[in-house]
Amino acid sequence: MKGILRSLLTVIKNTFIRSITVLYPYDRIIIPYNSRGSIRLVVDLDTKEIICDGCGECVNACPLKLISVEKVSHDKKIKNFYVDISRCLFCGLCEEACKKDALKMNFNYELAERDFSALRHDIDKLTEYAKPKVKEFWKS
Amino acid sequence: MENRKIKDYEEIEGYDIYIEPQFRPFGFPVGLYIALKDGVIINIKPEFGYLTTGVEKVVEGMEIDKAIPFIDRVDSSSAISPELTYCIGLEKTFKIDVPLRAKFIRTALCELSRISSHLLWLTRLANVLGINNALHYCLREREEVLHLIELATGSRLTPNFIRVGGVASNLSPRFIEEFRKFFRSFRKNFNMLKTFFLENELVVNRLNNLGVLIEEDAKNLAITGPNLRALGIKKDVRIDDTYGIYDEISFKIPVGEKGDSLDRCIVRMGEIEQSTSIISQAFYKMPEGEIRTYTEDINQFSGNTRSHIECPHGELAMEISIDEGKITKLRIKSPSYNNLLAFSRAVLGESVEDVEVILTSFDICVCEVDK
Amino acid sequence: MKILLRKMVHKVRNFKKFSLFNKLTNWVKSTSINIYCFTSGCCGNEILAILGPLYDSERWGINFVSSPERADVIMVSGTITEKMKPILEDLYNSFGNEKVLIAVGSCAINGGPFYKSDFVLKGVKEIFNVDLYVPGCPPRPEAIINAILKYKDHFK
Repeated sequence: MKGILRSLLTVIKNTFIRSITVLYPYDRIIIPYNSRGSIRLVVDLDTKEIICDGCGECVNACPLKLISVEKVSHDKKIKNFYVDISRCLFCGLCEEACKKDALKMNFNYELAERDFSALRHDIDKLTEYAKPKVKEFWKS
Repeated sequence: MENRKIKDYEEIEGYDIYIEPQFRPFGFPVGLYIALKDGVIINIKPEFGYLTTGVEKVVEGMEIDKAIPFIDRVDSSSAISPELTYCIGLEKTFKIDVPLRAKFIRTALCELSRISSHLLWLTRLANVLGINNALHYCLREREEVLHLIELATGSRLTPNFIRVGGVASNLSPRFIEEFRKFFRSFRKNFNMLKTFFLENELVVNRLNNLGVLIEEDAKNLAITGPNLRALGIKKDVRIDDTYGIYDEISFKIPVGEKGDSLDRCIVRMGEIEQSTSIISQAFYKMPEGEIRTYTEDINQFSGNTRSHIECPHGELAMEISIDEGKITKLRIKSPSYNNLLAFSRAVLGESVEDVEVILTSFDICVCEVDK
Repeated sequence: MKILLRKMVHKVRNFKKFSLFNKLTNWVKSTSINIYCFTSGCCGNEILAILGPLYDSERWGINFVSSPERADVIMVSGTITEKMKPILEDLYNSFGNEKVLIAVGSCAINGGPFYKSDFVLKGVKEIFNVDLYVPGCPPRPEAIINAILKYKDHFK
């Protein structure tokens, strides 16, 4: 009887403390800086060009071979860059292998999609974060 | 739809009840065939293999570093312990020295994941017993522990953090700050959890003398870990065959008496307290320095290794054979498999209502059973 | 009189097609979502975390029910093996008329890391029609909540 009363008392005590619930879509939990989300390509802020030169280190490092790079011949530029997110392990080995810091794991974790084909990210989606966001209101 | 069930019924001649695997929520697919006589269980047969992924086969032919994220997926509740087993085994045969700071970081993270695994077990027990308020308090503490693990490694459940010859990244000063904050509040909150489980008469009377495991059965089935220690046998790989820095740290091993469900609860509660003291000692003694020794000729190694550590469920052992930097064979001995067999002995003589409580009290991780 | 009766019967039969009635039922459904959770593996730990005080799924009316007959959504997560396949098919057949399926985690989407293995199915999409894919191995609890909130638009 004594123990039941004590456990009831702790419940009553805890009703007066500050609630820890985070109201998710309006208010977000602070995620650590090294948390691993989806992959993105780093864009140089001054020149607005992609740093990646298509050396292929990350292609070899991926344990499931999900990354593929299309290169422009005789040039240090890439044409396209594909990552298959649907099978990704989020292990971070590609980020470790990159010597130029051209690949980074994003903070983005909201990846739910309706189409299966949208889970294969191409170069437009990987550099989407760096594009200037002009509202449609101003365009018209 | 109907054909399958009739077929199952024919298969289980001599058994009265079949509990299907999807009946158990939140990642626990184990089917149970139960035979009854006058409301008492005479015979029980666990049906497993619903989660067979074939990790041991998938890993074959891979390079040493690339196999680590796959070995993570062996244990769902504390993924860092199979990683550690794998890396310790390779370091032993190839004679790679691990820096002292890396060893301290490893043990601190291992104990953190032990706390998170035991707290997950407590939430499951609270769910089965029907103590809804205790379930929420357990999950609150678990989120804080998982936040610390994510701050150090970068992921909540599957860290991919330990490498051959050290660890992947250094601890940030913010981690130690947050750990101190957590350490102050956790002791107070954990005492609160104790009042829900060990001082509440309703819970104690339910768990007392429920599912007693005999010492003879335990020895025949070779069970390890907290389930063995609940019988009063002091066996722990951390002390019997030390690895890492456990010989520099002083800690007790909590031991039960009878081997019933209450003793298993007491032992795991005691282990959470001991691991918090281990982590605080490790941070107090942690030296500065390097975190990883790089070996360039890792692709030319070949040989066979064997290693074992104490994971939250018991003794986890691995046998690895490597040929020119690629895995040719991997064999995992998981403790949960033996615990599941021990459950089928301990449950005999109890009624059907108590099956779920006894099954959760054994802390079985189905990912480990099937691999 | 007969013509009036016939009109009445016709109206009652097509009552579900009325836009107002449809909107009302959809609004009710979107505020209280009953989910049947089919879990195996480590994604189950993250779904358990949704119930906890930090994320608190019941703010959105998300309810986890224990039988598929009562559910609006079936949520499949974790590796699905060949042995598990007939059980999942049974569950899917006993599920209601409007079948909505969410695949959580890379194992359920595509076979994940074990797609080379002989025992593992290459995703739920081989057997059933999947409405939403939630990648991640395992996905964070917020990602799962976000997916369920996206599913709400399905009714609007």
